[in-house]
Amino acid sequence: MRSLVLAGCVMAAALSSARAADVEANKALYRHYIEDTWNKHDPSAVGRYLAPDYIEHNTNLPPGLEGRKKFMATVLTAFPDYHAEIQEVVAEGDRVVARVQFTGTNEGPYDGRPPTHNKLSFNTADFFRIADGKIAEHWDVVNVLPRLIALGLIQPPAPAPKPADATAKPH
Amino acid sequence: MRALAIAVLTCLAACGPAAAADLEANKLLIRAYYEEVYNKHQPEASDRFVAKDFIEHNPRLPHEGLAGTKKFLNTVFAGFSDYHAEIQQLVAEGDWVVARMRFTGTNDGPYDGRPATGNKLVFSTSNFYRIENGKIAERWDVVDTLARAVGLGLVPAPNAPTPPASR
Repeated sequence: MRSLVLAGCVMAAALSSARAADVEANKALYRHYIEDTWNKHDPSAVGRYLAPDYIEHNTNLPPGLEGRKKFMATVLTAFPDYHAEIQEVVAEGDRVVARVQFTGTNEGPYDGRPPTHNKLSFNTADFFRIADGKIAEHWDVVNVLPRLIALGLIQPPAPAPKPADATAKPH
Repeated sequence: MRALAIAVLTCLAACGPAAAADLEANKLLIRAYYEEVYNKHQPEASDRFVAKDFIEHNPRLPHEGLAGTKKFLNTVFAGFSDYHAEIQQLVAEGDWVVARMRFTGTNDGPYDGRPATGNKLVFSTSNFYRIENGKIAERWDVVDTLARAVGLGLVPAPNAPTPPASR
């Protein structure tokens, strides 16, 4: 009886540490992906980290693994000093989510437009599903406006007019 | 000696399920927060979910703790009488819960010092919550500012087809 309890405890402990190991491995995979592609400016490294049938849910981005490579190459041409700073990574099961700050200077052409020399700073939240040690699927939320403004594609919105209730008592 | 070993291993095993229970409780907290406060339009219900000295990291939002969140929500509901929050994904680890959110609403009231536009607003955010003592203690977010600005009539919608540039 006692050895049964012992065996059960050992199994439970092993399971829980196996789960923890997966989560840590997934977070490490993500960190290496960002370092080796964005920060080493090497889109070809994408193949090491993305599944061959990688699914991109952001419809503004070119699809699949090849699309990812092309997209990175385009951005790195436009922003030769592009850098991703990971601010937080949270993982559970087969999911990883990261909050990232991107910076760069538009010193190269983008989409046939000459460089604006504007400085860019914007953030994203990237959600991933990991399968068989690779990134299988991606969703995101992107703070898009600063990017379009830096690329000269959109005029900055006018600042909010002074609200009429600016001096009202708090609720 | 064997009894000690069993005791230690039982504790280790208990860590697993207990930690999993915490994650589920934290995710439930966030789901309940959005349902009760955002979707029932009850800023006062925030007291159950948000710490009094809550810290907000979005520079555009009030930095006045729990009271600040209520103030902000009141302005949102005044501007969007059908404001709705849809949770698209939750990821939890340790004291973190991260939500991918989709917000919708019709701008049928004044907002941000501007009169109602009548526009339909649809935008996404991701909220990184730190939970402490069963309440939301701190929040960072990422906002799709283009969708939000378009919805609020601050910038024109980008020309279709959307170029890769709009990422």
